[in-house]
Amino acid sequence: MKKNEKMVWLAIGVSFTILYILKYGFQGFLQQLVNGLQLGSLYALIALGYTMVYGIIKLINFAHGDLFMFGAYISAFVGAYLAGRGLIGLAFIPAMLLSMIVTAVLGMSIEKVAYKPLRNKPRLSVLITALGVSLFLENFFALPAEKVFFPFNKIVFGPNMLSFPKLIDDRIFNFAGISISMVKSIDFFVAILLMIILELIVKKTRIGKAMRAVSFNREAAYLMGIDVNFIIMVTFGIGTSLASAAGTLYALTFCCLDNPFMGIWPGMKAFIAAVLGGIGNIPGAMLGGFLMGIIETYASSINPQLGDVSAFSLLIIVLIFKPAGLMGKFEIEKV
Amino acid sequence: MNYFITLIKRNWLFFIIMTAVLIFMNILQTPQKSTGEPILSEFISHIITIALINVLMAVSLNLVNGFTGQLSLGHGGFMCIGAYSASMITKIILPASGNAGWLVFILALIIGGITSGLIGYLIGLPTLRLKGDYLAIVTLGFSEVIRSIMVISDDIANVLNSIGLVSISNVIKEIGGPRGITGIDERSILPVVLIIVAIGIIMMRNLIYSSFGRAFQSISEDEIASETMGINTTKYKTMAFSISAFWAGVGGGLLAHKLLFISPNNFTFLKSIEYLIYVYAGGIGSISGSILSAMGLTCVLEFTRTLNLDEWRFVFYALLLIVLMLKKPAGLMGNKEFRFMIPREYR
Amino acid sequence: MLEVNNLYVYYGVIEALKGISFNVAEGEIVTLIGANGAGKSTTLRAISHLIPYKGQIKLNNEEVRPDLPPHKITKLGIAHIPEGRIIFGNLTVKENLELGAYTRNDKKINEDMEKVLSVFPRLKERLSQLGGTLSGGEQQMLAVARGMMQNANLMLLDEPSMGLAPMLVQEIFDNLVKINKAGTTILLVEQNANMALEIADRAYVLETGSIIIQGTSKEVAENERVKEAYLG
Ligand SMILES: Nc1ncnc2c1ncn2[C@@H]1O[C@H](COP(=O)(O)OP(=O)(O)OP(=O)(O)O)[C@@H](O)[C@H]1O
Ligand SMILES: [Mg+2]
Repeated sequence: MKKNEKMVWLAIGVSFTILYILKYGFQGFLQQLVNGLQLGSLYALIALGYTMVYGIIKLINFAHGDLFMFGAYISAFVGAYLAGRGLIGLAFIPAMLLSMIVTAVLGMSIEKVAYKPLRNKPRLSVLITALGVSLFLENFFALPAEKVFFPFNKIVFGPNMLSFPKLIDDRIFNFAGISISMVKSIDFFVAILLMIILELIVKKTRIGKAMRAVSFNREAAYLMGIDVNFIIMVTFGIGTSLASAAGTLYALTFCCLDNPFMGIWPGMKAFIAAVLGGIGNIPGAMLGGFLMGIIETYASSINPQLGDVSAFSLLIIVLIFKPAGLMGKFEIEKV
Repeated sequence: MNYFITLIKRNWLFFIIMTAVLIFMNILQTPQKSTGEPILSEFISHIITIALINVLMAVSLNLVNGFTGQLSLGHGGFMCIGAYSASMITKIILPASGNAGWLVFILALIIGGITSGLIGYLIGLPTLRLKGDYLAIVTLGFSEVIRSIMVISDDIANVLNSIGLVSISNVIKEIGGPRGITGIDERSILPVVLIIVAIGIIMMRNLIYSSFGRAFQSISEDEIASETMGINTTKYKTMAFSISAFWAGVGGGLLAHKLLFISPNNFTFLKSIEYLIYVYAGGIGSISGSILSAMGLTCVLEFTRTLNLDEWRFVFYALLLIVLMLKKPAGLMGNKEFRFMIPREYR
Repeated sequence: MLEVNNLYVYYGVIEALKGISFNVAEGEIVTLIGANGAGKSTTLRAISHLIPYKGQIKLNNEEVRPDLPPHKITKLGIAHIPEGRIIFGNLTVKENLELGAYTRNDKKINEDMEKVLSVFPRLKERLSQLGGTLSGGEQQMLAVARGMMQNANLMLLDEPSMGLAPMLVQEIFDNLVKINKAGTTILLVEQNANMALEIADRAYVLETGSIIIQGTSKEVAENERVKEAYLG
C-alpha cells in the first residue's frame, strides 16, 4: 500500500471511531470493542480453515461453514452426556476436543471422496462440488429422524432448535464500567491458544514445513518425497478441527443451535474475513477475522440490520482497493 | 429494423416452431369438454413456467461464467433488482393502465432489465479487473449488499422522510423491507414467458456467434493473450456482464409476476448458487446444456415436491450435483451444442 | 544403475517421447542434450513419475512399478532437480535445505548440511532469508544444494546452467563433478552441450522425442551433426 493511501484509511478509521465515541460514549466504544474481539476470535478460527485449504489446493471450501455447524452439534451431544453425569465447568474441553477429532475425520473424508478425484480437473468443477457438499451436509443433517431409515436416523440432527447444555455458569465481571462475560473471555483465550498452536505447527514442525511447501509448489514438493495427498488431507483435518472448535465456542456462548443451516452465515463471514486478510495467508486470516468481528459488532450496535451489510461492504471496498486482501500478494490467476 | 429482419431471416425455422408450440400449448391449456380439466394442469404449467425462467437465468449466467470465463456468483442479486423494479412499476401503474396492461407489463420487464443491466455495468467496471475467485467473491458480496439494501429499505425511507424527501421516501416504502412486495399482478403466464425466454435465448445465442462472442471466447481462453492481441478485455467483459445482468433482471421480473409475492429472502445467495449449478451441470459454454439442466433439474425438484419427501429433496439434489461433477466434471454437454442451436453458417 | 527401455510419453495426441532407450551406469555422469522441445524434461519427469508413461524403467536391475506415486520415487534414491529454479519461495533457505532431507531420518543430516553449505558458501550467509528473495543464480544453487541434501544415489538435473552467468555455470559444473566423485551417479540434461560434454562420460542426443546419436562424450563431441547443431 502506498503511504498516503494508508493515511487515508487511517483517517477514515479514526473519524469513524471519533463519531462513534461522540454518539455512544467512550465506555460504549470499549464495550463493543470487547464484544467485537470475542466475535472476531470465532471468525478468525473459521477463517483459518478456509485460508489453509485455499492455500494448499486453491479451493474455496464452501462446506467449511457446515463443518463448523457439525462441530457445534457434536460438542452439544458430548456436552449433554457429560452434563448428564454432573460434569460441568472444564468439561467443555473434552467436548471440544472430541468434536474436533470427529469433525476432522468428516472433513478429511469429504476431501477424499469429493475433492481428491477432481484434483487435476478444472478448478471450477471442484468449486461446484464443494457447493454440492455444503448443500448435502445442511439438508442431510436437517432431516427429521422419523423420516429417515436406519441407520441414518441415529446420526441426523433434525430441523429443530437444540439447546446446548449449560456447561459453564456464566458470570459477568464489571471492569471500569465495561461488562465482560466469562464465557466470552473463554472464547477469546481458547481461540488465541489454538492460533498459537497452529502457528507452531505450521512454522516449526516437519508437517508444517511440508504444508507450506505443497502450497507453494505441489510438483516440487513431490520431488522432495513429500506425500502430497497425505499433507492435503492433514491440512483439511487441521482446518476442519479449528472450525469445529469455533462451533463449540459458539454453542457455549449462545446456548442453542438453531438448525443445521446455522453454519451458513458464520461461514460466509469467516470466508470474507479470510479474503479480507488475503486468502491463503494464515496471519491474514486471523487479522481479517478480528477486523470483521469488530466492525460487524460496531455496525450492528448502530442498527442490527447493518451487521451483514457492513461485512459485505467491507469486503467490496477492500477488494476494489486492495484486491489481494490486506496481507496477500497479488497474483494473476486463470480460472 | 434491419436487425429484426436479419433476426427473423436467421431464425425463421425457430419462429415457426415457436408459433406451433404456442398454438399446441393453447390447446393443452383449454379445459377439455369431457372432464372440464385442461390436459396441461395448472400445476404442470406452473412448473414449466418456473423452469423456463430458470432457463433464462442459466443461459444468461452462462454468458458470463461459461462464454467469457468470468466467475460470477451474484446472479441472484441482478434477479432481485429486476424483480423489485418491475413489480414496483406494475404495482404503481397497472391499476391505472386499463387495457394497456400487457404493454405496461412488458415495459416493466424491460425497465427492470435495464436497471439491472445498468447496475451490472456499474458493478462490472471496477470489479471485472479482478480475476477468478476474487471476482466470484465480490459479485457474491454485491448481490448480498443489494439484498441487504432491500431489507433495510424501511430505515432508508425513514431517514429520507426525516430530511423532507417525502415522495421518494414513499416510493422506497413500497419495497417493504423484510416483508417484501405482495399482491403482484399475475402476468407471467406460460405462453408469455415462453416467448420472452425464447427471444432471450436467441439474442444471446446470436451474440455468442458474433464478433463479440469471439472476443468473449478469446477472453475466456486466455485473458492476457487477448489483451496483447488488442482486444479491449475490460470493454467486452463489462459488456457480457451487463447483458447477462439485463436478462437476469428480466428473469426476475417474470418470476415476481409468477410468484405474486417477493421478499429479499427469495434472492439470497442460495439463488445465485442454484443458477450456478444449472450452468455447471449443463456444461459451461453450452447453451443447450444450460437449457437442459435448468429444465431437468427444476422439474426434478418441483415434482419431488409432490412425493411427500420434502426434506429429502435437497439431499438428493445435492447428491445429484456431487455425483454429476465427479462423473462428468465438464457438465452434461461439455461445450457442445445441439445442432439446431447453432446458426447454419457455423454448423 | 538406471535403465530406460522403450519409453513413450503422450501429451494428449502429441507423442513427446517415441520409445527411447538409454542407460546410466553406477558412478557415471551421463548427459542428455537436445534442442528446445526435444523431450529432455519430459524424460526426467517420466522417470520421476510426474507424468504417466509407457515403457520400462529399471533401477538397479529391478523394474520400477509404473503406478508408484512420485514421492515414493524419491525414496528409491533418486533426486530430481527440476527445470527453472523451482525452490520454495515462501520458505527460508534453511527450511528449503531441510525439506531436501524430508524423507531421511539418519543422523547425518546436520553433517550433510554443513557439507552442502561449504560447497555453496553463498547460501550459508543467507540461511534465514526467504527463498523467493534470492537472486536467480542463488536460487539455482539452492535447488542443486537441496537436491544434494536428498543424499541420493542418482541425481537427475534439468538444465542447471539455464540463464546463469558463465562464471556461475562453471562453479556449478565443478560442483557436479565433485558430487559425482563423492559417489553420486548423475544424469544431466543440458542445452549447453559444450560444458555438458566436457564433464560427462557418455552422452545421448535427443531430437523430437527420439535418440539419434549416442556414445562416449568424445565420440559425440566429434560427431559432425552434433558439431553443427549443438556446438556451433
Ligand atoms: N504439459 C504439456 N502439455 C502438452 N505438451 C507438452 C507439455 N509439456 C511438454 N509438452 C511438449 O512436449 C515436447 C517436449 O517438451 P520438453 O519440455 O520435454 O522439452 P525440452 O527438451 O525439455 O525442451 P527445453 O530445452 O526447452 O526445456 C514439447 O514439444 C512440448 O511442447
Ligand atoms: Mg526442458
